[in-house]
Amino acid sequence: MKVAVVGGSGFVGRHVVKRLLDTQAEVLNVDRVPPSQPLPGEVFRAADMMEKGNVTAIGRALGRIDGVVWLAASIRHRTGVDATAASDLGLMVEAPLALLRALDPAPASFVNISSIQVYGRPVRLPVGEDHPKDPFTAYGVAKLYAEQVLDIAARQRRTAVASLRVAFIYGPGQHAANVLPRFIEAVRRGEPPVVHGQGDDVRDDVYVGDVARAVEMALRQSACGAFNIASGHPHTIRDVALAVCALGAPGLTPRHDETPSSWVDRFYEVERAREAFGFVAETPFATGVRAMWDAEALR
Amino acid sequence: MIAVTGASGHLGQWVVADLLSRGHDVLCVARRPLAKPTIAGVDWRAAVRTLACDLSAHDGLAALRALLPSLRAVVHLAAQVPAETARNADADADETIHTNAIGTARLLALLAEAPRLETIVYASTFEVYGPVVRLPIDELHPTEPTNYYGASKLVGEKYLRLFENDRKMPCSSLRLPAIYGPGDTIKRAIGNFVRAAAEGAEIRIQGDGSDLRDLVYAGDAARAFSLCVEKRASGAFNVASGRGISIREMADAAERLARGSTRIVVSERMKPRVDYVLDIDRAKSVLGWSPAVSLDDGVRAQLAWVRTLTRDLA
Repeated sequence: MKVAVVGGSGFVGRHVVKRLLDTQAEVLNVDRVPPSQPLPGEVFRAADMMEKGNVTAIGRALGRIDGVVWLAASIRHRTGVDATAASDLGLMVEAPLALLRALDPAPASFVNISSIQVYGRPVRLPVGEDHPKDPFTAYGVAKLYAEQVLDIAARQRRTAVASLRVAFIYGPGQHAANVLPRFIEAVRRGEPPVVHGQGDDVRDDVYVGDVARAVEMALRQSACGAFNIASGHPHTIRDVALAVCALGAPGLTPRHDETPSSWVDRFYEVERAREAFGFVAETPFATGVRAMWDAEALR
Repeated sequence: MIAVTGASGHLGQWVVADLLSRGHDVLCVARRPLAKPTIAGVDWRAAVRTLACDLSAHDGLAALRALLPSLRAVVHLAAQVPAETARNADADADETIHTNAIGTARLLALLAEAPRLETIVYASTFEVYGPVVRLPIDELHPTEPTNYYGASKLVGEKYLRLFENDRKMPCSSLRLPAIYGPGDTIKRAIGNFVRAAAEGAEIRIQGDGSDLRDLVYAGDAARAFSLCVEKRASGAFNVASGRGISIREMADAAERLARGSTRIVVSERMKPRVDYVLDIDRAKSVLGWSPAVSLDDGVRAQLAWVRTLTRDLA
């Protein structure tokens, strides 16, 4: 299986490239920047996918490939509409559509990495794929639109498009500003992680290695449609803090402050991905956090 | 001042007419803005200001920036509408992404800086709904568009929601079915029937014509936009007849009102039956809007307009 991974140098991209190489795929990583640690067998091609001409040229030059994984996105938390909204549609909607069109012959499978942000605030739990879509970020709006446009384009080709709506992804390489890396950093310093209020906020964290496996399974089985990719095991932010504390100095416990939490509980149905392509998240949270802790220690 | 984007179009000319008739100051924004309406039967009772802007061009909205301080409301109609939305041609994707989705994002990013803006009213479409799971279709019906046009209109609605939440400013989206009446040039059922009737050609329908459609008369649709502006309405509203109108009923109206110059020819059904009926209770209760022009009156007006066109040609 020959696969182009667009955005293969990023956090999730590294894990996807590794998983594909481990399962004997040929991998072409297309990204603006080369990977900091190239993997044996990985072929890298530098390209700015913001340029539509680049996307089309790369698509034409690829020749026969079996699958595409589209990871390239501008991830920013904008709850209003500013100038970035228009340009983000270029990278997140126009570019993957241009690549899909430029590929000749059409690949069997196109995996579009989407997000649970397409749903917005849950009106019922767990959130299934049919839940209303009312994103509260411009990122979520662009992802929703990308899903719809690629789905329409796929129906006119022989390509199966799978949009994977991933929950909160954690694991080695995750951006330091996220809650879990901050907890790890605190505990490593011997300080308690700080949890707002009682810490009852319910969340759904999925390990990046599981996400990479979901991508590989969806590709190989030419999955078609939209799928939640989540842990299937929601937990509270207190559970998260306790799991990190367990790795640090004995006796360390989370500190609760009085800051009110604006969090809205969310977790996601995982049946559809299991039924369609057999994906079940396997990594226990403690194991995933341990892998993060160990990887951070190597830095 | 109320800016109307797409003011030169079919719906645009009707919306400008309705706003003017209610005493509003109107700024007509379009690639080629008009100072006077071009549709016979549409009356602009007062003078308008005009501004040439191209939503699909990178810097196409630059001219609007200087006028931001004077805007109290914006009616955003400008869009690319593919001739046949269900075909999903590659060009439809490019045009709708570019003009409708990206153009709307750019417009909203600019309007976020308008200091006195109180509301935005956006023209959406029943095509945001996609496959019908229940009839009549209310605003809470799932939105899974199956064509590029519907998807591009839905993304505009979603950006408008962000704008509304972010700016704490009520904004509304009007989901419209086929709009008919003077100025309707789109080649679909009712327009084709009226044109055939006016030209003395046959009205052709497939099957028994029992498929239900929804329609809205352009003047009725325009009034819904004015009401949304005046009431600072929030959210999505179906603006339609609210009752199913069968293809046969449309054909019969065109035949009867053309007074003997045409006849209906029925051929074999080619497509499976599909019904669309929109629930308009929300527009009725929140806006106090309901359609005022009957199918007969609307078709009569459209016939008269088509005849002025053929007279102009002759």
